Parts: sequence; structure tokens; C-alpha cells
Amino acid sequence: MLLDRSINELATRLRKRKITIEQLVCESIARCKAQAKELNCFISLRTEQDLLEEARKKDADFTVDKHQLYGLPFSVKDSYVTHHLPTTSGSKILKDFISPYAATVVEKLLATGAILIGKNNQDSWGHGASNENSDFGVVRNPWNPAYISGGSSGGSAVAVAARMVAFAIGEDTGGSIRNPASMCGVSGLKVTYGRVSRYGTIAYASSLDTVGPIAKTAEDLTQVLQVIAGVDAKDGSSSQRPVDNYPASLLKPVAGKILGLPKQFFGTNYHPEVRSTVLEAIAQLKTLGLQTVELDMPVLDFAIPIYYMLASSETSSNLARYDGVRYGTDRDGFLPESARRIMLGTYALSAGYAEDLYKNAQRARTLLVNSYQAAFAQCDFIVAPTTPSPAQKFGELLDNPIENMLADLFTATVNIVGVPSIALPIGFTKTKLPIGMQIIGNKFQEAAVLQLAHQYQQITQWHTQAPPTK
Amino acid sequence: MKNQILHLAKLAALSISGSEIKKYEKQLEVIFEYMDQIKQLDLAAVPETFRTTEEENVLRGDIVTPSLSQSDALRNARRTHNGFFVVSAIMKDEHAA
Amino acid sequence: MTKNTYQLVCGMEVHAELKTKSKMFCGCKNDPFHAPKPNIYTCPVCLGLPGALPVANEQAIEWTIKLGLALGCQINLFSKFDRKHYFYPDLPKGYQISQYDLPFCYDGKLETELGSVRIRRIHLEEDTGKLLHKRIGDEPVSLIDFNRSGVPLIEIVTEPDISSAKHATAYSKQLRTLLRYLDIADCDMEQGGMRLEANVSLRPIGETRLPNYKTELKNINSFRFLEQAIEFEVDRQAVLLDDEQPVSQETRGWNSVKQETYLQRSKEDAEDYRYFPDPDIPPIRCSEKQIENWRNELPQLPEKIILHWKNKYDISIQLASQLFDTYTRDSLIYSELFEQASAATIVPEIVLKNILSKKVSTPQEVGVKQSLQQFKNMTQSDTVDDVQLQSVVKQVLIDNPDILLKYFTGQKQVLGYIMGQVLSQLPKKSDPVQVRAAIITELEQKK
Repeated sequence: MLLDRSINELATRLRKRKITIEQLVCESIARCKAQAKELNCFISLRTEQDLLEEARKKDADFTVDKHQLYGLPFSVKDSYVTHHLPTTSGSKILKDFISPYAATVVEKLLATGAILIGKNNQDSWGHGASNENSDFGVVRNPWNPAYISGGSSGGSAVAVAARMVAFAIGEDTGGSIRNPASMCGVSGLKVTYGRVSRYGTIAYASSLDTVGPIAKTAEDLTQVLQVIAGVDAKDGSSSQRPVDNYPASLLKPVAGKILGLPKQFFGTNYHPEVRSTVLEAIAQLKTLGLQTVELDMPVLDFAIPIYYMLASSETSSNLARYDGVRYGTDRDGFLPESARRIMLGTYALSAGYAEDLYKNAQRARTLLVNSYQAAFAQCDFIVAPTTPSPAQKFGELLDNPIENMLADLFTATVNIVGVPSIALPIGFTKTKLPIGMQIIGNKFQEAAVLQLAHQYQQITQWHTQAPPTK
Repeated sequence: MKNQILHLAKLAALSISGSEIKKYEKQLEVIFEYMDQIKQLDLAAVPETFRTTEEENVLRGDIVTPSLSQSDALRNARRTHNGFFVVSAIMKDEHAA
Repeated sequence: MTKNTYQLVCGMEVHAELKTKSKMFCGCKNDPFHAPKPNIYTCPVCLGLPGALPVANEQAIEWTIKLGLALGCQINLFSKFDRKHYFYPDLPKGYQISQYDLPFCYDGKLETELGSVRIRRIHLEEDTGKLLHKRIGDEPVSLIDFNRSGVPLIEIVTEPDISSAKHATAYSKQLRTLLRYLDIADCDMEQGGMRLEANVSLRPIGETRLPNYKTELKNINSFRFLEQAIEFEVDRQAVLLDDEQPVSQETRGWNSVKQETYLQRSKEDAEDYRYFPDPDIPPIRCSEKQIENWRNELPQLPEKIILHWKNKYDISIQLASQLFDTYTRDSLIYSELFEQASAATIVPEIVLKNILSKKVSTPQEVGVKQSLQQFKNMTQSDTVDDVQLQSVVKQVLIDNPDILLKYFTGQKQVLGYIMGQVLSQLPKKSDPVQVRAAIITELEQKK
């Protein structure tokens, strides 16, 4: 299958005219026809006619100096505003909303000539880690459709895993790219906060939200990141630091670098198969010449309450604009998960409580930042599992609000302190469900993180495995 | 707790039906208690962190840039009238200016 | 009367729209009042569309700080924007971007002829859209125009130093003069460019503690209404207090038809705005040097100049304020004019009166010397001998027979020609009023 191949391979083949863009897009369309409905990873898709017309035009205009991503099919989470296709953020409140402007990340990708296939399903407003909280139905795991895909960018991860697109853009606030990437056996990058413009991203938590790519490999992620990273005058929180050359650093030597293992993560009681697989992956990394060191980060034990206090407060604010006046429907359209977070956030910010709740969470945030900084004085990367458990069956998480929150245990603090983290596939359970791991770097260390992940993928095969297709 | 839910729903402009109140009461009580864990940390002398970015003074010059057309601005509204957005009558309120 | 046992305790909050070219957090045009249609100066940011992000206008920040410097304020070198939450259809994001605990300016003072007023704080925020109440058929609706949404709004809050209704008016007028003089706001009250709010309460004379309540007077769009409303409130509250009734914490408006304040909203519970710092906007940090530069860029300030002119040239405050309201920024040239007038033993205030009534050209147009000369010409002309005058006029009319015809067929402007001819044959400083009267008399006789 063409879409089994990496971005670089596809680009090379296009240049050599061994394949056409039309062929690529046809395959994407065929894959969507075969499984998009069952897996429910798209909320909206462009018409076949539209796509073929664009593909043919791009074939006609093709020259060898076109961008690496030219003609490649991609999709974006439905939290990125686009022209023509509606943008819903997975909520019926916005089911008919057609934005008059497009997100910066979308415009940058379209400018390369990449072809937008459709908008991916997600947990409404980013609220969830299982993609069961969507007004457009649950998203199913392509490895076993009786299981969740993970979330909130479930649709984006599934579209990549099921070979419907060459890459996708997700959004990560507490783990929403990494969680589904690992549950679906693909690679996902949560960038340093501010590395990629948030303009046009429907906000969940403004100080935590990041825009990031999902693809089959770290190498693919570098190609996409190279396009989307960089300052944006329309996003005041975007970083003014120059963008590194990510592909160029992939093969730089990693020997001698140190991996930190937080004992607060590795000591917790989580799924034994996840534990054994992660430990094995660490052993593999050591064969590249890395060493490990144990980290003591006591504040990590408070990851979930800190994250939920902050994220809920900010989301209660960011969702205040949905009043049905200028767009959308009334505020009675929020699902219970979202209503709960809004009320929790409103409570945390309210008079008489803000000092205790919201402000204390911001103070605890300082402790986390300090803890991570102290850790990076001892190591180059922090490693951790992505999720405490492989994909669960539908309904398991929904019934249990605390369990639901705990899904973010290993991922959420990364957003609170703003550092980058890649989630990559490292194995499977006995029942052939994917297991993933995180490599977390210090701020703006995307190049180093991608480099290590890439070199791990040079000595392992997990990322080459595809779910059963139909 | 019930009054608290109603108060929060009012502040957040959420409409919660009578049957839902009990459900939310239970769930939020559990969640609020869980959040209280933060109190176990010694935060007395710790400053707040509002942002993880390094930039300051990210400003724009006073330059006019193109606006949306009126039709684009109104396009997604449920109700419009002669170029205006429409809502059913609001009682004059202190927020009116 | 009862109110003589009470003392007014009053503070004011004034909002003024800054006259930047673009809005506070986006590049849309800042011109809501003159927009030919509703909702034509909007964009994803000021419409609060999903995914949009604010970026602050540096001109608005500079002007806010300059106003603070002009009012002798302390400047917060480190400042930020906060979100203020409430739901209202004209507030697109469900929160207003404003400033909470680190306003750009604080602790200043404005002098008026009725006493100084301390400025507690000055902060910057964004304006809301505008609601119009109408009927569509039978249905009462509110129409919303977001052209005004996002316009930069400066808010000036005083300490409760205002001691009378007239003091409140003096304060507001002086503030407006300053804003216009600095050329940062037009303050057109009818357009909503300046909005006045007063917090009014009473305490027994001699009491120094603040009263435990206050009434907010809002939506007052003229100085006259402000004065009337405060006076009404003082009376209303005095009656209640005399009766040992509590005065409710309320928001009240002014009904200019009924000449009374009326209840708009009970405020027993304070609003819960759930302020927190806006994560989308990085903080603002100014250096001492930058503040100094801005301080040096300020023009000399009206209130100081007005008092100086009063003291040195005995020019009334009212006239001087009128000058500032009409011709902002030209104080130096007027100081020069008054100095020269004084030196020539001419009363400066009379010169000013004639300039304001347009009888004499302004020094900006013709220079100080010419301006004074015009004044001298106007007032120091000599009377002409009547006999000589009459004979010159008669002669000019004989020499120009067609003039008569033109005058009587409606071309009255030929009078100017005749004036010129006559004046050229008379001594230089002949009184033009006298000459004109003589010509008309002669012409009427020839009818």
C-alpha cells in the first residue's frame, strides 16, 4: 500500500514519476471508503470529485522542486478552523459552523501543496482521553474496533494508523496527541508550548494547548514539524526562537546521553504489560549507548489535580464565547464531561475559592516547573509510559470519572511545564493492542527528542506494523 | 451542594435540568475532593506560574488591516436582520453602555 | 435642609475610547460611530470566533501610560491583561480583556478649580459591541453591531475625593480637556466616546470613615445630567438616612425627562468576574528609560497653563478652558501673545475674547504680531471728521455711477469696493464702522 510508505519515500517516488498524486489520493479515498465509517475517525470528508480534481491539477503542475509534502493526503483534528468544511470541535454546538478563516497550521500545510482529505473526530472541545465524548459517535481502534482509540485526537491517530492519510495534525493539552498515538501504534509529537502557532485552534486550555503532528514515524514527524513550526504574528504566545533544522539532526549520535526515569511514574501501579514493554524499550535505547538514572520528582504525584484545576479553569473561560449569538447553538448542547469541566473551572476561579484553588494550582505549577528543571540537570531525556493502560473497551473509562482523569497521569505534567514529548510505538499486548512510550525533552529540544526516537525506530520494527485492513 | 451546582451553572450560563442536578452533585463532590489533594503541598512561599513562555511585549503597531465582509461576519448566525445579529429582547442591564 | 448635615462622598469612573486607527487587539478599523453599516469592521478576533487570538495595540498602551504621566501617576513597569468574565450578547468572548491587579497607572491626581481629585488607577481594556432595542414586527428584539467590539477603552478611577456635584462636573470637564489636549481621545459624549459613572454615598459631616454603601450612577452621557443626577441622589439618600433607612447598594440611571434617578439593578451581591491573567497575551514590561522618554514627549499640560495664565494675566479659567477645547496644543503661541499684549498695555483677556469670537485671526494663522495688530486696528481706529467723510463718499459715488445701479439691483457686495475707495482717501486708522455707516446713509438718500 502506498500509504505504508514514509513521507520521504512518497516524495521521492513522486519526483521519479513512479507514482502520481492521483494514485495516492485514490488510495486515500479507497481506505476511507473501506473503514472511515466503521472506525468513525472523520466528522467531515471532502467529496471524491473535489479530491480527484485537486489531485489531477497537482499532477499537471508537478515539478521536481515542489515541496516534500506536495500532493500528500493529510487530515486535521476538527478543532482547526478551515474554509469550506465545517469545524465542530466534536460538538453539536458547532455542527453547522463554517469558519470564514483558516488556522495558521492549515494554511501552512496547504501552501506546501499537501491535500486536505477531511476533519477528524475528537472528544468534544478536547475533553477526554478516549474519544468516547464526541457528539459524532465514538472513534474505534483500528487494531480492534471493540476498543477505544484513545483521545482526544482519536480520529487523527486512527486516520494515520489505518493508512487513510500520510500524516495528520492533532492537538495536545494534557496528552491528546500522545495518548491516541500510542493506543493506535503510531508516532505523535507534543511540541514545546509556543513552537507551533495556535491561531485558528479552538482553545481548550490556552496556556497548555499545543498543535502537533501524528505520523507513522519520527522521521515523518520531522517533515511536518519543519513546515508548521515558527512564530506567527497572529499568535502572541508563539515562540520567537528560530526553528531548528529537524531532518538534519536525525542521525546525529545519541551515545552518552542520559535517560531519566521518574520513580513516581515507574513506581505507580499500572498495567503490567505496559510496564514490561516500557522497560524493554528502555533496554533497547541503552543499546544505542544511553544510560539511565532514577529521578525523584515528588510533585508528579499531584499531576492530575494540578492539571485538572488549571485546564478546567481555562476551558470554562474559553468556552464562554459559545453563546449561540454569532454562531453555533445554545449552551445546553454541552455533553456532561464538558459541563463538569466548565463547572469545575468556574468553581476554581470563583470569588472566595480562586485563592485556594486556581492560585494554588498555579503555585503547584511552579513546583512542577522546578522539578522538571532539576531533572533535566541530571538527564537529557525523561522517559515514561504514555498511558497507564493499553486501550480499554468502550464504556470502561466513562463510568469512572477519576479513572478517566488518571489516563492523563503520565502525559499531563508535560503540558503544565511546556516541554516537548514524543510518543512512539514500542510493542503490543498479548491481545495485539499497541503500547507506546514517551521521550520527553527540555524546552525546544524537539530535534533531540526526534533524533532519539528515530534511532530507536532504526533498530526496532514496531512502527512498521499496520492494523488489519479491510 | 445543590445550591452550589445551581450557582455554578448560573455563573457559567449552563442550563441544568432538575434530574441532572443530583447526578452532577455526586460527581462534582468526588472531583472537588480529589482536587483538594493540592493542599497537601507546601505552597505558602511559592510564586504562581502563569505562563511557560519567555516572551514579553509582543505587540502590534497601530495599523488597520482588512476586516471580514459583513456577510462573512454574519454567515454563521442563527438570526440576522439588516446586517445585525439578533437576539430576543434583553432587559437593559448595568452592562449596557 | 437635612442634606446640610451630610457630606457627599463621591468617586468617579470614566471610560474614554482611544482614537487609535485600529482596535485594541486586532487590526480592524477603529471608527464605530461613523461606520456606514453594522458589522463591517469585524474580524475573527473582535467577533470572538472559535480559534481567534488577541494581540495588543502598542499605541494604545503608550497613550495610556502617557495619560498616567500627565496625571502624575506611578507607572507599573510590569503589567498584564486579565480576563473579566460575564455573559452578555454584546460581549463576544464571554469575557472582556481588561486589567485587574496590575493596571498600567495608579496613584495620580487631577487639579480642578474646585479642588484636586486623586486618581486611584488607570487601566486599558476593550469595548463591547453595541445593542439596539427594536421590534421586528411584534417581537421585541435586540440587534447587535460589533463594529465597536474591541475598540480600546481607557478607564480612569478616582478616590472618593469628589465633594459636590459641581466638583464632579469640573473633574469630568478637566479630564476631557486633558484627553483631547493629549490628542488621544475625542471624548464625544453623544457618540459614547466618553462615559461617566459616579459612585455616590453620604456620611455625616465630620465623619472620616467611608460609608458602608454606595450607589452607582451609570449611563450618564452629559455633564449637565451628571450634576443633576448627583444632586438628586444626595437629596434622595439624605431623606433615607434621616429616616434611619438603609440605602441599598444599587445601580441607578438618570431619567432626564422625569428629572430623577431610577433603579437599574440591585447590587447586594458583588459580581463574580473570575479574573485571571489572559494566557494569550504575554506581559508588558517597560523600562524606566522608556517612561522617561514618554514623559519628555508630553506637551505642557492644560491645567498648569490655565492656572499660570490666571495668575499672570488674569485670564478667566472658563475662557482659557474654552481655548484649550477649541485650539488644543497651541499653548506656547498664546503665552507669547499674552506676554506681548501685556507689554503693550493691552488687556490679554480681551484679545482672547475677540479671537474666540473670530473677530481677530488666531496667532496660529497669521502670527502673534499680526494677530495683535488686527486687534489694535479694530479697537484703536480714529474717528473721521463727518464733513470730510461725507464729501469723500459723495465724490466716490459720483466717480462710480454704475455702482449705484449695481447696489440697488441686489449686488450688495459692491459696498466692499466703495469702502476700499473711500478708505484710501482717508487717514490710515479711520474707523471702518463709521465709514460704512456714512456710505449706507448716502446710498439710501440716492434711492
